[in-house]
Amino acid sequence: MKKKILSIILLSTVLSACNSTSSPHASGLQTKYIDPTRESASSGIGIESNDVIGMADEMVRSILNDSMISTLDTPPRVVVDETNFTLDGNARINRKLITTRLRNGLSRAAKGKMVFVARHGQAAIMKERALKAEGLVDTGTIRQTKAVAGVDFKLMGSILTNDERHANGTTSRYHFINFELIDMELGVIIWSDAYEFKKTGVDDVVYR
Amino acid sequence: MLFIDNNRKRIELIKLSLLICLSLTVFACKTTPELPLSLNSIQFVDQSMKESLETINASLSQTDAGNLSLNMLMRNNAKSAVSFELNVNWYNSNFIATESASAWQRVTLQPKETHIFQNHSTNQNSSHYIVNIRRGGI
Repeated sequence: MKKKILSIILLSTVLSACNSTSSPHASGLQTKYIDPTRESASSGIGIESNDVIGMADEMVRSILNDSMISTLDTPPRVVVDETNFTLDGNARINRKLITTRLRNGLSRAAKGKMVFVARHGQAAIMKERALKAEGLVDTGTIRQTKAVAGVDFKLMGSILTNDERHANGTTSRYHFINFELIDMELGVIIWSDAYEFKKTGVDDVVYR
Repeated sequence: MLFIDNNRKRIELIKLSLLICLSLTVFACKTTPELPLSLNSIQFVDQSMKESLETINASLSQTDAGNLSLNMLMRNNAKSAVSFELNVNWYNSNFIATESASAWQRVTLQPKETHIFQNHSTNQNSSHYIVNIRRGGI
């Protein structure tokens, strides 16, 4: 009798465990991981994860193989952020997504050939420097400098689009994403490249 | 008589040692795992694409930055348009990955159309490549 009760308890425990791992989300759809390098199932006409990954990788390889940048004696100080990366068209994309992925890819692959200036963290940096100057905290262990790093090159660019609406209800969108590195002393363009693509579909996907 | 016996034993021992060495060598050769991939090769993730997509003259050259540039001509031999994606893994001569794999590049080719695929390495230790080709789309 005891054995029977024990077996029933064991069986129900196993069954409940199996049940709880396969229960779907409240909406009825199970959450699953998808490959961000693949085309999205939604088939929208906007910029999607595979486009962001592809364009950032192409720009990293283009910058690191540029003869002008690679032959500099001193690693240049570079700012890569979204502050001069504009959105001029109908595309809806978080610009930070592109510039952060580009900065991340560059800093991993550059291996000291470029130095990345963290202007996006300027407020926090100045706060820390003030604390050090007031003597509230010590000077740290590496070095003390008169000022934070000045910038040699800054990434600038724009996302340009052109839409075509067709009689059958579909829309085509041409994207031209331009990237430039600007010499912040001389004011000239030292590197430029672009990523372009065109998509056609029903423009009913909402990008947020 | 004793001297002859000892000599025979020694020869037999040497013979036996040689035999053991030989068998161990043969065994070692047999058990060395064969790599399923080879450097400087093109891998079709979707084998069915092999028939329609022709890859011609994959070659390496040096960029101004001292890295490598891979150039490869591709032709669609099928009777309909084909969409595919390519990426490159860069290695050193010891088959050790020297940098992150490149992102997938999407290409669509009409029948008989050609395309020059190009990819640059970002690390001067990269000396070999493996190109992966997969079907485009979801």
